[in-house]
Amino acid sequence: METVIFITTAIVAVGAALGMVLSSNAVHSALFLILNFCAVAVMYLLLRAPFMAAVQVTVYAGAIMVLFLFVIMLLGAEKADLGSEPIGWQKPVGVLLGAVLLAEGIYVAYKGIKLVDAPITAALGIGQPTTLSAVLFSKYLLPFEVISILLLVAIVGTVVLTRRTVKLKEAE
Amino acid sequence: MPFNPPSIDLTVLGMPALLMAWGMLVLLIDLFTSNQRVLATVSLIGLIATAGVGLLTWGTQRTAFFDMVVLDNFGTVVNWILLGATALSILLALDYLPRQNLMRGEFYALLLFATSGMLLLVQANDLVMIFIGVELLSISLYVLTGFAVPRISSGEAAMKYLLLGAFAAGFLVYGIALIYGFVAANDAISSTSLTAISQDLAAKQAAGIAINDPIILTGLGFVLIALGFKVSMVPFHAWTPDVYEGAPTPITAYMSVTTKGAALVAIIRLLTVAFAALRPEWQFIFAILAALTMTYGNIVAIAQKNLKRMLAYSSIAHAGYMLMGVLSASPLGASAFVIYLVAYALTNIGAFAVLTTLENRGMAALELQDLRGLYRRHPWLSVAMVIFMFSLAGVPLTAGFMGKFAVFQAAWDADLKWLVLVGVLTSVISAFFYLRVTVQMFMEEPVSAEAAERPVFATAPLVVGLTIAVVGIIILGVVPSQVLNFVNNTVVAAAR
Repeated sequence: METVIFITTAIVAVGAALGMVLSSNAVHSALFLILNFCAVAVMYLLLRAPFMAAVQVTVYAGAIMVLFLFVIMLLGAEKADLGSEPIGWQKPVGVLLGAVLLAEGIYVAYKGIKLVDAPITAALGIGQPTTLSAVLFSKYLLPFEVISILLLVAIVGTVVLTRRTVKLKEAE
Repeated sequence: MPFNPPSIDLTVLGMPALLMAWGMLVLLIDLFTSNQRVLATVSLIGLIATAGVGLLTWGTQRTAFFDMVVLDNFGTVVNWILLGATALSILLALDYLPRQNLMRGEFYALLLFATSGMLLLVQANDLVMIFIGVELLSISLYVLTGFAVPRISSGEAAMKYLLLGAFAAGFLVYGIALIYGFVAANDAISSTSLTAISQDLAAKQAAGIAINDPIILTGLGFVLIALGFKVSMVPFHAWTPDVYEGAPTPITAYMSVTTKGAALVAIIRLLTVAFAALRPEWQFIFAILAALTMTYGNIVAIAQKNLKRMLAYSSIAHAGYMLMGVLSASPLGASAFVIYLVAYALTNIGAFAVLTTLENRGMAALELQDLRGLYRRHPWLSVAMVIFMFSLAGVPLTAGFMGKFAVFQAAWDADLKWLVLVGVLTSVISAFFYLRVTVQMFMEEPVSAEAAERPVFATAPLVVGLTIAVVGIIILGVVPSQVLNFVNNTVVAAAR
């Protein structure tokens, strides 16, 4: 059963990734990317990491992609202008790096290199919400709290930078 | 995993915690009053109160929050310097902001938050805390750089700083992840704490496992790239001139001193606490980068016509001198770094204070020739500027000389004699463009009759700031022994 689900989601994930790269409409690309994120979230579930799956959907497919779509539609940049590439060498270098990554992946899969020596079962608890929260509210309590100040600064900063432009428009 | 609630140790966390709370207080007061003198006064009281906390906890030496933050006298002394630099920057900003039509109450709150991030970075004993400290100070500074945003140069500076800073943050996280992957998990304390890393490296060494593994070297390199970016170490300095030129001048003064100070303390702790075992690996590379930083900063500064850009390149060079103290990796080096930081803070903020007095609304850029004939327009101001330039160049009887002397001594003792030679040579080069400023002020005629009539905004808070800087430089330069003894005793004691 798991194999069937895996193969299905894998096909969906790869197909969505291809669709994202190949579609010329930026909105379609973004939608394909959401599909890809959801497929990856299902894979996290298969790996018994429900928290990762939930975060993948809410943060990436939810928040970040909505922001993407919002910006694309706000700027009216749905149609990619393929004629003018400002940096000419970008494309061949991208293809080359992609090929290197692919070769590396094939090599690792072929050789069956074990990247981690520890048994995999020990790490299974990592994706559980309880394990995560126990660490977050004991060992990593201080960073967790300080990040709230960081977010406050970010909000204040956003207000400072945007309210100024409103003022400027009024002045004109 | 059983849940064990952490003990909240507010003694260790006292200084940054109080300043964060105070920043929120300033934000709240900003709701009720738009009088920025009130906000500035409250902020100054907060800085003094925070320094007072340091006095109360003086002598305590312990870590808290699973070894994530550390309180020691070394950190407290650096915190005091950072608080003092922030206070001087507030004095600079007080009349500059309304003059430039930048009167926004959030300025002071953001300044306090940035400083609290720096205090946290100084006291950080953990890679995660280093990351959060760096981000807290960076995000505040991105906004403060763009504070004059209808002005295009300010927006450009903020954008460049943000994009390159985000890139550096990526390096930092990746480096931390690699180190975390190499170091075995520690149940008692945070696995990313510097203590845990040094314990793990020692254990691996004792077990005969090679510790100069490519994974950990890459990780350390990435972390140092990110921190070197904040310090504006060559070759990660490219953002510095543009950002320093575009940011409001008091912010340039502020970040040219405090960011470097805080990030260098993080580097000191990282290298001497966590990675002391890898010293042969990092010391030589660091020495070359320090030499490049000093040479590049001083040579390129000669070609600058814009005063802020000139001081930006000079600040790159000064980062190189401070790195000399850092990479000596000895108690002597750490205390030399502290002395250099005091001297540099007083001098650099003083020099930017003089620029602030000359900067009127709508002025595009402050050129070197704008200083011509300043002696006739405002003799005291030009005398103060001469003292700052002499101190930056490291002329004897100024604080700058003591700072340079201390770092050269530390590097010499660490057997980096060639680096001392580079340092002395580049100091001689730097004297050229610092003295050129003096010549412009005293011996050249103003470019035009209009330039001779330009107003000088030496208002009361600025004069107070300038006086503190000048007096500090002269005290440290003429009778340095008290300060030197104090710093040596505290820092050397802390290192044992």
